[in-house]
Amino acid sequence: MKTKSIVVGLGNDLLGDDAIGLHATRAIKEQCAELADYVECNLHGLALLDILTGYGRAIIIDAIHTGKHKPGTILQFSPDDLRSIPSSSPHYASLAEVINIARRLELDFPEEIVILAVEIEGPPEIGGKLSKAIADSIAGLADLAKKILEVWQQGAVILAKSEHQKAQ
Amino acid sequence: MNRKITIDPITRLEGHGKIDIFLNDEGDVDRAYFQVPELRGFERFAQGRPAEDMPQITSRICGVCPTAHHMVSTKALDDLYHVEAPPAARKIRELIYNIFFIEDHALHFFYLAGPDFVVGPKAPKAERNILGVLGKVGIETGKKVIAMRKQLRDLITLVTGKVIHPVFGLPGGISHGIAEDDRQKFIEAADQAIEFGKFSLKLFDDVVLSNSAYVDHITSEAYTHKTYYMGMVDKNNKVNFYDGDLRVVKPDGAELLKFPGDKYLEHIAEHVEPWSYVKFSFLKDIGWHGFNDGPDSGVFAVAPLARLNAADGMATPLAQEAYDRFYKTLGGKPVHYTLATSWARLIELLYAAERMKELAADPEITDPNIRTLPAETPTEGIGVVEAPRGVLIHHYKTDDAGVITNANLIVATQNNAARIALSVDKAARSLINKGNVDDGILNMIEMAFRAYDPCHGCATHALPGEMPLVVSVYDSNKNLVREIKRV
Repeated sequence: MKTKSIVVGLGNDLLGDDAIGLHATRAIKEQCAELADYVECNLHGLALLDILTGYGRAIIIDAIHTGKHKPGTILQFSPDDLRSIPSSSPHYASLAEVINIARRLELDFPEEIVILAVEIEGPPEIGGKLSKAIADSIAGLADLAKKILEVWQQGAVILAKSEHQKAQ
Repeated sequence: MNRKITIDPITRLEGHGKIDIFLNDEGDVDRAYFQVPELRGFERFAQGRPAEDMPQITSRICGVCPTAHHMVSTKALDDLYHVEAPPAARKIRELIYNIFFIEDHALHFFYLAGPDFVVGPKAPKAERNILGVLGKVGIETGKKVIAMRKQLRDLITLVTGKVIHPVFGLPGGISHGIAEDDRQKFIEAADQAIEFGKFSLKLFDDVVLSNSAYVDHITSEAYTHKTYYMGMVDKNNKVNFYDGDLRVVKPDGAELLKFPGDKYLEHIAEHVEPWSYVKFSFLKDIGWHGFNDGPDSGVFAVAPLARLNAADGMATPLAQEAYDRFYKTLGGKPVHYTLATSWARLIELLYAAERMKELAADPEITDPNIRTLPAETPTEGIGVVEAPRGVLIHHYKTDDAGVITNANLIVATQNNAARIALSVDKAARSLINKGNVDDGILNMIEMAFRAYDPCHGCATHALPGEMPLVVSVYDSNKNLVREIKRV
């Protein structure tokens, strides 16, 4: 069984709170560099095919805007929680779609993927910085990711969450 | 009773694209609008930053085409610092740029044209996507696309360091050369890319061109506009993505203009409409005369079909063969069928692969002289390239220290915006009558803009990531009478 893990931070560091995934990935790497490989990514969804292929397990960190939670709230999803409607353009290839493609093509793709998303307050602005509530979520994200990586290190699996569930 | 139909792709960034279709009392289309989003605020964001940072910063604008922004920005810096890159540097830039085109075009063919042509424009929505395409063309083909993409991206990484934030282009050159051992890898990959290009064109032949219903669809009046076309050409008037003059041909195919990119302000102007964020590029030489086609309207197009129309041919042999066949099949130059863009894209893919081979086979490309150090005071710089989606322009002004005082970016989707608006309006008028709007018809209207592959706001990658569509129908009092969620 493949055990190599990867942490992928998604976001755009020109877009304020959208960059939370990048910042969190750096923080996690500082705490436990030895537990995984780390990648920061601002490319469209399909680039995840290249990044995730070859790994056994993956944590993906991104910003999310549901409007249902306080900004800074950390949400944990399994890929099954995400809508898997395929899009008509790779501009919008979703993670669920990428996973579907990987399965269909029988690529060497992670058996387990955990998505950590931080609620942000609406559309990010170009040039903005991380707002306080979002920056404050980094410590919690790092703790949570570290725990997940340690569980994986021991060869166990994270129980997939079938419903959107707050991690905190 | 007037009704309003909205096809609304909701993205997290402001300025998302959507289609509004207004029906008249008879249920026919009164007018259809397509709003192309625009990346707002970037030009202001650039002010006060060192110009030398622009290739890195602008490559982060867009998660789809970072290489195009990086390359055009690098060329703008050459101009800004009044310095010319040595031959090996220019060749390596063009090599990397063609590799980027191959992977981008391959991806977009299978993603954009695939669902509409390989699966079928009227196929059930659930199958009209990349997974449906894989179902039709087979897993092996899908694996081929993914494997080639990865191989090409690895090659780009050899030179640029990172695909994501390339540290590659510098004023007057590039940061890394190509070693002889690596050159062989480029040649081998180019051979494979050429085979892939031939394979893709064959697939298009087998699946699309041999199906008369598809050909009728492509050549139907609903998707036809007789506009001007703009594209970059080399000194022989052949298509080039990296460098050359901008050439504009008239709706009858004759040359109207040919000018170096730094004269763009003399020929390209911007029209503003109250209902759209985007500024619509038009030809100054002709003027803005509304959303119309024909020789009296300054509306023009960019991107694969426009590039083929604006050039006299392709600079490589196999692509030239495909080019000749394209025009022979579709009734001569220029081709005005928007949906022929997918075919044009594949011809360009083959050209990019052949050009990659030529450049990799050139021994000069391993010359270690890859940088001319800038010695002059920076003033103003303009860079132009062909992005996969069309003519892309970066224009910077700086102070003596090279700090940006003014930046102007004209992206491909903006150049195409007026023709896209025309396309959506015409497709809607042609396809909707007596209020008959079903999912298949809406898809065929979307096809009118999908062919251009417009960017819906750069830098989107957000969760959940896909582009939902909401179709809303309003009565004459703006009451919502019908809503179709397309997610």
